[in-house]
Amino acid sequence: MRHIERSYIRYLDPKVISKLKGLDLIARMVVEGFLIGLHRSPYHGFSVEFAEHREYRPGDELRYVDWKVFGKTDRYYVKVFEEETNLKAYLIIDKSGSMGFSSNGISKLEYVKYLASALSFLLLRQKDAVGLLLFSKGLDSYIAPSSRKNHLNMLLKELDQLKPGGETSLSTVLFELAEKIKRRGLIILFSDLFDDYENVVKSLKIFRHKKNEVLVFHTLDSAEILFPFTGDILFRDMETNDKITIDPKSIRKDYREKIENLLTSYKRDFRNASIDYQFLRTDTTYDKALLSYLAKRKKMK
Amino acid sequence: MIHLLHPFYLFGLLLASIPLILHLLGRRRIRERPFSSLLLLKEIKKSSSVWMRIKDLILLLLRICFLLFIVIGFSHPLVLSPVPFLGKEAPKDVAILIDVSMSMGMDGLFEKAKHEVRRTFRILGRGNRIILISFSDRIEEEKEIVDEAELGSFLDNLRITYRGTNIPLPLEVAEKKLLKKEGFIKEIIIISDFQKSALENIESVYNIIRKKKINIYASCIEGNKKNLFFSGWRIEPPFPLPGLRLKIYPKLVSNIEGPSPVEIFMNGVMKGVKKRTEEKTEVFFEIEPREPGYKSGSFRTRGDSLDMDNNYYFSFYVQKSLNVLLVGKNNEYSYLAAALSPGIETPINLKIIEPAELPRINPSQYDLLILYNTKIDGYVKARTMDFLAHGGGVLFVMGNEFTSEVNKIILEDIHIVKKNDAKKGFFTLKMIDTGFEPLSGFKNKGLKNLYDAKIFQYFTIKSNMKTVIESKNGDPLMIAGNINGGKMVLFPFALDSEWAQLPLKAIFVPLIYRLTFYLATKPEKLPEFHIGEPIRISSQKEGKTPLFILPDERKKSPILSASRKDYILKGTDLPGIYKFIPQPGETIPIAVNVKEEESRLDVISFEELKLLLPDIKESEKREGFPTSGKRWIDLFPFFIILSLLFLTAELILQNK
Repeated sequence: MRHIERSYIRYLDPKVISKLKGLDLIARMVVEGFLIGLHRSPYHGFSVEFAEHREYRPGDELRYVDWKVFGKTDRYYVKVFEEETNLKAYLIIDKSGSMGFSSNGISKLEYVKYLASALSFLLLRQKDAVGLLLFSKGLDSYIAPSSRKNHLNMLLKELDQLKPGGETSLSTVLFELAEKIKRRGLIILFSDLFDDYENVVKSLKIFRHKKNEVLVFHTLDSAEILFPFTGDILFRDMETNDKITIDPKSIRKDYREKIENLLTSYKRDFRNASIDYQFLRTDTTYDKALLSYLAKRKKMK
Repeated sequence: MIHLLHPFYLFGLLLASIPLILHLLGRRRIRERPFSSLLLLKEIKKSSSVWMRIKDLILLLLRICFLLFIVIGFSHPLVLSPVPFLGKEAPKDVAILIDVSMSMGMDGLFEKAKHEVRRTFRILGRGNRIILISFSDRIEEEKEIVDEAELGSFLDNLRITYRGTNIPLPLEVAEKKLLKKEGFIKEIIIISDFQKSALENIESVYNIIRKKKINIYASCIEGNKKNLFFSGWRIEPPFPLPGLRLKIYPKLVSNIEGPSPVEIFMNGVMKGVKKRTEEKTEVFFEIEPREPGYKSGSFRTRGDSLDMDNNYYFSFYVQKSLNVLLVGKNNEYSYLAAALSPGIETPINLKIIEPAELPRINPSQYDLLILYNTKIDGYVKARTMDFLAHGGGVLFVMGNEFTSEVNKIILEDIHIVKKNDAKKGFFTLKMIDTGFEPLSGFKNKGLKNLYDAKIFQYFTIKSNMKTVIESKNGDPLMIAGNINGGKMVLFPFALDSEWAQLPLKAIFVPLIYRLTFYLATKPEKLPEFHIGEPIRISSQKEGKTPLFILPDERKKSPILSASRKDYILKGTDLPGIYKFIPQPGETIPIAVNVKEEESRLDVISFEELKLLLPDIKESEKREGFPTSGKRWIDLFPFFIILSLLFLTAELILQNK
């Protein structure tokens, strides 16, 4: 049994999961691995899929009282079944050229793709409606939220065809989306956030103003943080094709400082705007991201 | 003025080009790499790119300087000290040449020379590189000396040789050795007695060395010049025969006052002692060899300041008895025959025949053919020419037959023509050629009464013949020369009282004997050699390789010359008798003596040497060995510190 658990848990590792074929399998494996891991984690007892027992409180429907437990314990417990919600979750994925960057075999977009698949799987399992929006310079693709059983296939198919390309205009797209999404819901943004910092924050704040819950998965490659390059290098922008020659060694310190400041600023400003922010590196295991989602979901209950 | 002590290290300057090459190569090798966003990079580059370029250049400069200074430091740049108490003398490369030729064996001379070497070494002090070269007429030994222990061992093992001196040779060797050294101060110190003979061609060698900025110092070691040595020897008569009393004369050179003993040894046994005095400078010893064959011996003296040349070695060959054939008629030869057969035992066997008997005689059995007033034509001429061709000697005595037409041309090379203005008369002697071996030691007094000789003057002679006794009117009284490979002597008058009074003179018999020995002996004179010269002796025997027994009883095989005609023995380092054994049972003694010029002790003073070699310096008077009295500062630490500073700066800047 342990062995099985361990084998599932390892699917939380992006490197391992990237070797699997078929997003549905990937999504399932990640979620199974996550849930198994969850039971063994400090979050044990927190469940979203199966019913739990809790003491009866006035107002609870009597049909949910578990009489078998009452017979055994003389206490009233109600069964909490799979939650039925009307939550609409929007997975907004940045598919611009910069998301194709990879230094360790798995690109940011691939990482995000697997994560979005797993989240879709998880959300739909909870009967939440899941929508998908792909963008680069503008909105490239949109799948309206739905909680139908076969919706997952549609989502996964779209995600499967996801390729990086185009310039980012994150804030513009977000402004556009804010207008498009009428009903309150959960906005989950997957992006490297390489855009004008202030505009990005400003645009996400609009979602908040419209009473949406926002969760940002800020995804970066480790090389984008550590800048480990050596020798004179002609860097080519993956979106604009601009070029610049730099001795990385000479600016490494400044670069790290800048990226650190950027991350700190995002973290601070998002917190101030009540936006949940999770920084992810493409070598981070998926449970971290899924836990963020669950924490968020719990808050929304 | 900057000198580099180790200029070789400057090749290391090439190292300084390494950072530059790496820098240039690095610039060219720019890789292209896609990156997610240049937003941040552009912001940073705006502020740092200019500084980075400057930093790069400064780093490059610092690296080059670091390597540059470290290389220069290791080449030990020396600069003249501006103040007298700062710095020290620069190290020098010095070659000390010490003379170990025979003349240095004089009383105390060698010890003085060794003392001078030690003194020089001590004064030169530590840090200098010193090469010691001992020399004679060749390089004996050479060694780089580091400390006094090594010096002591080198000097203790030095030995005086019997060889001559050649100073230019070690000078050239020292020059080559010093030029290979990297130090900028180079000196040669010659420690010798400076014999004149050792300085041949020294000027050109000296000038070449001086042009190469090598200073030359001389230490003239002087000693006691009390000198006595042998310069050669002679034997009388020069053609020894068994039973014939011989006189052996050693040639002595001496500057000693008072008598000096001279001894003679034959086969290691002393045979006599004589005293050479200032009045009686020529001494001789009489010996009488009984048997024919090779003889050897030595002379010995003592009492001078150089012992090594007190022995002088000689060897000679004693002929077997001589067979003489006299062809004459009518007893005309009676004076001559009486001289050759005096009635006592002599080494001469005389046979007299008539000219008509000559065809029946085999001349090869005889050592000397005397044709006394004989017609020389037909078979006589043929026999004579044949006899000469086999190396025999012929004595012609002319008389009445001389006027015959046949004898107008005696042989191919002598033209005898009657002079038209010939007069009878009396003639005095003009010349005796004492260089002609049979006449050596002859004086006019022996022939002074010849003025009444009655000689018809009929002669003209060709150039290959030589008049060895001549009358005042230019007519020859005795003619000698070589004809057809053989020796010939001719008297143009009959040897009787009718023609000339020569047979009546006391000198006649010794003269005839000398002529007989001269003409009858074949040339088997033993050659003599000097120390250092290879012994070359003709090889007549085929088969077994001959052998030499050296004076110290060592055996050595000679090598065959390229022409295969001679055997050569090299390494004649000891004086003495070298026994050549061409085949078992036969021994030929060969004398090897020291060179006369080495014994002569004809030395030159430093003042005379200075006239020959103008700017040579006197080593002994020098206090210390200053390099022109200036002190030098080694900039090694300065450059090393400087290079470390640059290295530190480079490391600091690199981490900025």
